[in-house]
Amino acid sequence: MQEALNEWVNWMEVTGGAIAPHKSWWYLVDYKWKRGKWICTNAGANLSLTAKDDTGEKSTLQYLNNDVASKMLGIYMTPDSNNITQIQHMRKQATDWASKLSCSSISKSEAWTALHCTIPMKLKYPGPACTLTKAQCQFVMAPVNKIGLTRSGISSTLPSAFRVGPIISGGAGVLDLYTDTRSGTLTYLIDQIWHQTSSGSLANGIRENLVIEAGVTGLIWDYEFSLLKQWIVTDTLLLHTWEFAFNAGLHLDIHHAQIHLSRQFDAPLMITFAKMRQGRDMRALNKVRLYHDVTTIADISTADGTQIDPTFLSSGQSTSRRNDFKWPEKHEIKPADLALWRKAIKSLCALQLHLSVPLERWKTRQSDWTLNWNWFSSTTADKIFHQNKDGIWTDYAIKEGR
Amino acid sequence: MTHSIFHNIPLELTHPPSEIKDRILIKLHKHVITIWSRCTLTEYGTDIPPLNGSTSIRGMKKFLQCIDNEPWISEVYQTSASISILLRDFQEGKALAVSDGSFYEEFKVGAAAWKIQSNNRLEFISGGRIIPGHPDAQSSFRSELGGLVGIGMVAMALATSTASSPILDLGCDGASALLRYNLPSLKVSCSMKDYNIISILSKIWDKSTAKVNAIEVRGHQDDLGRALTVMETMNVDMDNMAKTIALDAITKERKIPSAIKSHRNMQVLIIENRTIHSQLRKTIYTAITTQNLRQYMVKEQLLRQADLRTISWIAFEHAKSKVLPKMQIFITKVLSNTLPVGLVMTKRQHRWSSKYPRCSQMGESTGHICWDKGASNTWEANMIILSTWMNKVHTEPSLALAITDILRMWQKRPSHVQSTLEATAIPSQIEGLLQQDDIGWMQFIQGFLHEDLVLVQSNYYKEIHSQKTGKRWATNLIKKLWEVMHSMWKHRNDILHESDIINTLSGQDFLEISIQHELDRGRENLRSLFTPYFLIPLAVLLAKTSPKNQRKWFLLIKSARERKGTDIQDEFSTNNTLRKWIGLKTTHS
Repeated sequence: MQEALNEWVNWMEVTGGAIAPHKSWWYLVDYKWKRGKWICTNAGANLSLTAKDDTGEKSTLQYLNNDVASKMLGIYMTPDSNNITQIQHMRKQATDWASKLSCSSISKSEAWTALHCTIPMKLKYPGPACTLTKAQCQFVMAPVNKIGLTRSGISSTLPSAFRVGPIISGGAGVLDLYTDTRSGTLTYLIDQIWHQTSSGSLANGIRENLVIEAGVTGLIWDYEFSLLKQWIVTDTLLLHTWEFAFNAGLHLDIHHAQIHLSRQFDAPLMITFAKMRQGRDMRALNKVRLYHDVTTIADISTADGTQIDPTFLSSGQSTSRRNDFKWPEKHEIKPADLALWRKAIKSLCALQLHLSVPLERWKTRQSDWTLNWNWFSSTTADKIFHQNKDGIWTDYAIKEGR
Repeated sequence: MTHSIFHNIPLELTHPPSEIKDRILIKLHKHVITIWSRCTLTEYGTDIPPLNGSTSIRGMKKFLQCIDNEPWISEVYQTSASISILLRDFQEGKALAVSDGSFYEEFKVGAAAWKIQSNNRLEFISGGRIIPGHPDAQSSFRSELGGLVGIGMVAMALATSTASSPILDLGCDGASALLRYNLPSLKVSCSMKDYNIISILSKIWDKSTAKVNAIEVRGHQDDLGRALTVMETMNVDMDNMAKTIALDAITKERKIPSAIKSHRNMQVLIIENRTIHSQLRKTIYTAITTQNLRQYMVKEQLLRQADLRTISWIAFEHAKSKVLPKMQIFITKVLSNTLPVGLVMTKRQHRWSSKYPRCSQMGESTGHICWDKGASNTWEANMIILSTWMNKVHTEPSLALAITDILRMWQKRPSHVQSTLEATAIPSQIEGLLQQDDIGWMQFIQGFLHEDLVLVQSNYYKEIHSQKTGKRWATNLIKKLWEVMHSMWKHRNDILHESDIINTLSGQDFLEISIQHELDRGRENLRSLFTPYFLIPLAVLLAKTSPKNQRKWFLLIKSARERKGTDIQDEFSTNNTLRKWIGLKTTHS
């Protein structure tokens, strides 16, 4: 890190620039799995970074903990994505505006104009970059609503539907910060994805990770958010945006790479577990599924589709090649999780490991036949081949045939 | 299951094996491997067939539909028997292309047609189709863009199949559409109108080796009786073709796809089965807040769920956007039932009585400002103004008469409205008026007009060959109705505030009784500072002092007694509304 920083400072020097150490800070963030969630931790507390300033002297840069906010482009942000400082800042802006309005001798129509044209723009700006909740938005807007409406000649107890309803539809047209923030984020994501910018690529990656974590086939937006939220644990801007869209009755028509069912009567494991759910911990089941790198019943069944492959019931991670996805970092698996997984898998079976609904014909294209499987027999039946996860092939000669 | 046994001695392969047959699962013993599950691939998925650029129209159609996955571009394809000259001209940059859109506002249907022809006008390829999208999102601009996409796709296909990079003369009569035909992708944003088609255009021209020389063509020149240029002739042809396609869809009532299926377009959202492809952020925000507002109106029984589908929202929204902020605020208060009438003021503890200022009837509601029998003259004057205005804007005479008669009866006897309606309305209008009756006449005054009423007026304008539209009539009628309501409100406020009624409704009677009690009690243990206040005779205090000063006098004495703990229990001791009116601190109980 120090080398990278040095190089960057040197490059700046070439262009005639230098960094101001008193305006610079750094974070080092790590994520740990804690109580069923990824938690942001401080990884650089014992480290220090130095950089040359404009006089050529080396100074130590300020290290900040991941819950300490720093102002960037007018927005207070923290690596652990707590919005406390930003909310306080926005609330202060709202309170200042309200107190100025209440002390001023402006007319009702001037107050009405101020309510629609001044403070909303200020509060809207950081919106798409933050994931403020509905309650946080209400907290920020409270002084604006109370004073702004009263000074405009409207009761501050105006029902919220009328308060934020568009003027042309019969409402007062006051800013609904939550809806505006989330619709801004959604619009931004769509825009960036289409333009294939670096943010768009990042959003694509997050979207595909979300699909893998959810373990569902087809478009993820076609599922009920509340169902999938039972086992999705990675907190992302995309997840919050989807939640907003789902609750607002918006159907996202955003395409993404999809997981396909590979056999007739195949089904996604998590959806099957959810249907059969009897108070099971879906997060634990999903942890084990991700541990084995599998998504559908076909992934954990035998080649003929009649039984469960017992290797997926063992405590060790499966070495079988069933897909070519890039899987996220493994969660910590506890014995209780494995026990739950085995129980859930057995509920798919009628007798021992025989599936209640055997899988039938493959839907795979001929050209893809060798892609997502690890053991094959030869056309002459005198050899078997093995393909490991890295795509390296080995063959085994026949000893005796009967 | 096989019974073969294999050595457990692997041999690494440098290349993937070619003689693979079945997927298997194995069981591993000490030195040997046995197969215990096997499956042969029995059903192959469909591999995408290799596609080549083709110079035949069939091949190109397939090319467009498969390689570019844009099957929505054209429904109708036409071509000359041969296109060899066209291809040569295209390569040499001599071919001409024209597109045009046609939009039927009444039916909210748009169609586009496009044509590329050789320089000698003998060979051509043309096509066209209905423009997908929600009816409310259709416009002439969108139709023009649809035609430009058709040209873009064909030009790209021709350039690919002829391996050329020509410059094509492209004519279009939509100046605003031409400005958007090949925006660099960086400039395309989802805040634009019809951004999904614009984004497709941008990607097409980004990728295409053909370039365009855009020319604005004058449209509809065939009526002028002069010789037309080649581009103008092509424009007239394409205009006719687009109209034919649109009319065919209208007459056959064909279902129009709600969205464009394309891998090039910027993603869209669907709200209440309506695809959003314009000004995304604003549209999402407006759609959500409007939906919440309308559902709240239903919840508060201002409207019924079924009414939401039949009310002319366009007229309502136009009217609300056209009036002054003062009127906008007034209407918001009326609809949200927060207009400071008696019931609202007593609920807020701002007034003691909810009586109507003129008739002293208890429980003054928002509707009461119109129903008041004492305000009949004001209502009648407003009806005359309304009637004059309706005649001025050529409202269907019997409809104008029915509306004013019904409103007169509604003000006097709401229960007799239906009989008036049946007596006044002519058969062609009775259905529309009954529908409005179903929504409600209070709602009518508030601006919620049934679409059938708008349709009646729209048909009348057509009958008399007027250029006016029913939508504009409805918008102005709503504005007039709001003015009627506002005038009634002003009338009520004049009565309330230009007399002592406001004091009476706020608790003046209680105040006078309490003042008398306080004077009767005298100063008692209050400080000598208060002596002059008790020297004022009762008659002077009640008859010659203004209510405001009476309140001040009472506030002084009452608060002093409360501080001393010697006040007597009266209405002002417990009632917060009265205490607020006087200026005393409210009690928590």
